[in-house]
Amino acid sequence: MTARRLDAGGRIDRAKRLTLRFDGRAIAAHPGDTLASALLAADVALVGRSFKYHRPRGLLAAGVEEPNALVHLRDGGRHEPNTPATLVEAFDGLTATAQNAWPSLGFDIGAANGLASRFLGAGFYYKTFIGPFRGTRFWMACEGVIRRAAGMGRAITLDDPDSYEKVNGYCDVLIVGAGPAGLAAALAAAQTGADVVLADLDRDFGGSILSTPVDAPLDQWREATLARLRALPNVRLMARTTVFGAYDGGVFGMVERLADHLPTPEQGQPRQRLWVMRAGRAVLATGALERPMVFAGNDRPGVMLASAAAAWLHRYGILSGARIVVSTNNDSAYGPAMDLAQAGAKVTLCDLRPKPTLADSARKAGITLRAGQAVVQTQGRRRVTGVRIAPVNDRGHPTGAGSTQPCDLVLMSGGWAPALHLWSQLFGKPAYHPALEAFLPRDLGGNITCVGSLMAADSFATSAAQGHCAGGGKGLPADLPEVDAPFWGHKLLPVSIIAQADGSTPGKALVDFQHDVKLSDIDQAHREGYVSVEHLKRYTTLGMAADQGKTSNLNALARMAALRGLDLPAVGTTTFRPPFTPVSFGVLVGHGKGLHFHPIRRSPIHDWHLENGAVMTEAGPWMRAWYYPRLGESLRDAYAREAAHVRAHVGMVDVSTLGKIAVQGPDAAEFLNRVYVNGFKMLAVGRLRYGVMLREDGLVLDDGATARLGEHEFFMSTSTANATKVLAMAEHLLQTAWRDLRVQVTSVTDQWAAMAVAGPKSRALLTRVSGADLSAAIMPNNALTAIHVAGIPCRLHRMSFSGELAYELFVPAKSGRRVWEALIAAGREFDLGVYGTEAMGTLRIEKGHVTGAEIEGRTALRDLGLEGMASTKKPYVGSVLRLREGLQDAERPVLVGLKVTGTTGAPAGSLLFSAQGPTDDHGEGWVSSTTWSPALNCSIALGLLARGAERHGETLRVIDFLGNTHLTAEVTAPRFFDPEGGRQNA
Amino acid sequence: MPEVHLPLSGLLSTGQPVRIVELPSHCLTQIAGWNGVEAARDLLAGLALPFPADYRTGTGTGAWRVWRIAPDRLLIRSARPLAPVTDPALVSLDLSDARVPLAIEGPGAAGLLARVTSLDYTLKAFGIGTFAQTALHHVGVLIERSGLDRFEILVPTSWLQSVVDLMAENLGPARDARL
Repeated sequence: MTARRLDAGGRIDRAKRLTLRFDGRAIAAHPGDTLASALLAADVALVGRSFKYHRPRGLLAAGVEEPNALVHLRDGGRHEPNTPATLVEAFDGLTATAQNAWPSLGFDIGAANGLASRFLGAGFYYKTFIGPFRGTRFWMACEGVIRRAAGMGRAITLDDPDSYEKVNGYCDVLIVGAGPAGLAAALAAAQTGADVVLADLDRDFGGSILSTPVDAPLDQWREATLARLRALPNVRLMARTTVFGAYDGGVFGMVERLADHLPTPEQGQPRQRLWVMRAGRAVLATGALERPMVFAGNDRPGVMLASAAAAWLHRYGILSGARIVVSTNNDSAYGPAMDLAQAGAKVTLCDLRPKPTLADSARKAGITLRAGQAVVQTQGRRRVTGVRIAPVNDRGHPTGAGSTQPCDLVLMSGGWAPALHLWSQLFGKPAYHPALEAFLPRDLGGNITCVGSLMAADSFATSAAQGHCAGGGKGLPADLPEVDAPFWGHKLLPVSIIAQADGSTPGKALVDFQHDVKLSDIDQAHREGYVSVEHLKRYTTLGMAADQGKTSNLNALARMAALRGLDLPAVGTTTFRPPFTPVSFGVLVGHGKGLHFHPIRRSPIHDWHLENGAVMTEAGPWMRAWYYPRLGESLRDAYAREAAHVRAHVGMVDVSTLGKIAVQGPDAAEFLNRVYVNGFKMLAVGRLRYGVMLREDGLVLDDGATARLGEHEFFMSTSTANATKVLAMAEHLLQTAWRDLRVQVTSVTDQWAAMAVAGPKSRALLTRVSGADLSAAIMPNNALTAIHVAGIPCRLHRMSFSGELAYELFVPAKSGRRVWEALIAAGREFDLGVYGTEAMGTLRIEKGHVTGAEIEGRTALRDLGLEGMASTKKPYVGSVLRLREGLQDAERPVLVGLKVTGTTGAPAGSLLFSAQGPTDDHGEGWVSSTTWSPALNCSIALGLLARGAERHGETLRVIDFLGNTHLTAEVTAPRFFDPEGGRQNA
Repeated sequence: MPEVHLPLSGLLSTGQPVRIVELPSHCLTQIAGWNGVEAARDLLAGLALPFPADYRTGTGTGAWRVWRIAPDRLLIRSARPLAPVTDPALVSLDLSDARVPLAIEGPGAAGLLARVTSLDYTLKAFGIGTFAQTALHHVGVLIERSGLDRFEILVPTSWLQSVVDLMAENLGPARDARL
């Protein structure tokens, strides 16, 4: 191949010069070039190495279908692998390196794989390593080598310095593809007044027109149409935008590449933008991709698609060869061949058809025509130096030895494959068109219309007319130029595989260039029984990964059909799935990373915690104060100090995260009676009650206290973790099973800040700040009252989670911090200390109170020692199934306390085993919660232990297999501290 | 990453300016009932407020605003607390502290919202006076268009900072620019 830039022509800005670097070599380019065109203009034939055999590869195509020229792009955090050089717009300073080659593209050690190709065919991995070597040391030794050799590009672990954004878009009509049909559709749709989006993955609009001569009538029509579209306010022209996915409901995924053509994004600008476009209707004008021919050596650098040569010539002003041989089975290759001849190349055209329809035109253009013949083999090492041309029959089998001919470029055109990926993503299997040997979208009506080459339009006029009609235009589009260039499909002989009748070729004949799948691999898969296209795909890797079979699918299906003696539709085709082209993770993530990975919920007192040195922890979506370390304190030091302080003085913890639900209505009490296992109907106004609720299957769902604020008004609190679940269950029941109940449930979690004040001095502190009489006679346990703190009306509930004399103060959220700080200020006199969730856990474990660690979806009332709460006088959710045999099994683990030896504590999740016996099973129970108890001065834990109630005093082994710790513990009652409850009832 | 604070001004990637401000808190009251909407209609009539025609159009002027947020629920914004509901067919609930009102304003307001919610903010689909309840960063919010380039949002109090942080992120490093 001796490509060169012509002195004129193309759609590049010759006045400006750019310098790119490929594998360290400086490459000259112009604005308008791609990396691929710049390499070609510099006569760089070798641009990559193949995936498996590391065969030298050159450019096959000029567009999105390019399977060979995948490069590593850019450096550092912007490094991007597997980028087709044909899609990389040239800019000054662009750096790219070849991938899949070591130590260099020219001398690649991996090329030795080609010598072992006999053993590396289809199913190599399966047969070799999942077969006899599975699980052996040999496999383990090979695995590392194979992992390094496998894959395509090299990913990096550096942070991507660029930003990405997502936008939700809406339009009446989305037109995908801006070729003749797409442009006509956009103009027609816009003229109806519709809000139109025209998206094309290219930098320029025009599609196939861009591969025709500049300023020719067709190009002038393109320019005129674009000018009209640009003048319309209801049209959005989105260049560099790939519609990669089509989904139900008129939703399309689109990536707009805002800065990929720049060295770096401009300050504050995203690199790419993900559009989730919802379209009232869509016109798919995605065109067609030229189909390679399959013959020996068809992957040698210097073998490319005829359409690519046309693009190089007319778009980039490059004559890609001086002595060109074209091999085709249809009319569409004649246009490029004649243009290349006119540009100065010596062209020989081999046409499988014995009587080509354009023979005279070709000869007049100076082309040597060899009818009924085909290229059967290429010659050369790292670039084509010649071909063997032989006569072939109507099945593509050579019928003679033929002759060799020197050349520097081989063009092939085996017909066209409609780019029906988006259509197939929506509708599945396409229809087969025998005359074109291609699959086409089926006409399903609805809001998706396919036009142009995607529907095998046979001319520019047909294509534009289809687009015009799909856009909503009447009649025929105006001002269409007369163009007689042959579109694909003209007189196609449906043969693209040149091989002997037994499938043999005089060298490797590639079907899938990107995955190194040879014709012989398909034959082998067939022999081994992989005859379904879905199995063929997975066994051989044909059509997988980044390429998605853009150039390979039809040839593979044709070969499988021939092997099975079926026609192509009987073999079928695989279903395309998004994305059409690779999509960067960055644009899919958008801003949903780091701080924005998920929304974060903050208590109204959040900032105070931060300002006062709290170490925060995540609790579901909430951020909570974990502990407040003093200088040099560890977590354990801090929480032990905080917990001890509560028992000795008074402490305060932010419990705003508790779920809070307003339950209102005349039947609110009845509703609660049905939800909780214990009775709520008789709860007096001004009182609150601890309640437990079950799931329908009888397992415990949640617990919490509910207060009666009025005759028809209750205030339910739930655990932080289950607030949403409880509300959802309540709404579900009220909207389905209990529609008779006049009850409204509303989350008021955001309405109220909450703080628990606990400890012997808590009453004194609250009395001081509120001025209210909170004596036990007026305010006994489980009572509530309205008070004012710092002028803010609040509600005080007396209840204890810590086991101390304790209250929960509910404050309107926007005044939460003000009241908290008022308590802090007043609390100095009472030695008030704040405590975090870790100390809160310590206090409740000392009291044997259960939380989410014990109510974890597997435990029943009996397991938690709560069976006595269950009413026998009323039905409630779970009341039937809680009595099922499995939940009544005496062997079920039940809640116990554990006094653990040593000071390290037993990690939650540790398994419990008897003092003697094996430890190779799941044990007799597990540790659910653990802490160091300052009150008991030892490590304690809660756990669930089989027959635990009978085993108090027994010594167990406590084993954490993950941390490899082995401890012992004494089984006790769960309530370690103040079991009589004297302190909380003070 | 430092948290951002309101008011906040910045530019979209398309160059359009946006300003986010916290609005003065009014009273928010939820009215809910059973067996039809007549009781709620009567309640609104007593306040000289029209009953909303649908779930996308608010009613009321000035501080008064009524949104029908569910078949059996209204959300009422008012300058002062509503008098206790006496009709036994209704219950009322104070949610004044449960939501924070924000205004998103400027030529980029619709564009910013299109980056964080999946709604169509063209005037044709989302006219002035129209509202919608949707998810913003997975958080349930109520968005109302109060002007050509102005929207008001009710954000649950505990999620406010996270929602603002995400919107600020969409304004990129130019977020401190003045309108």
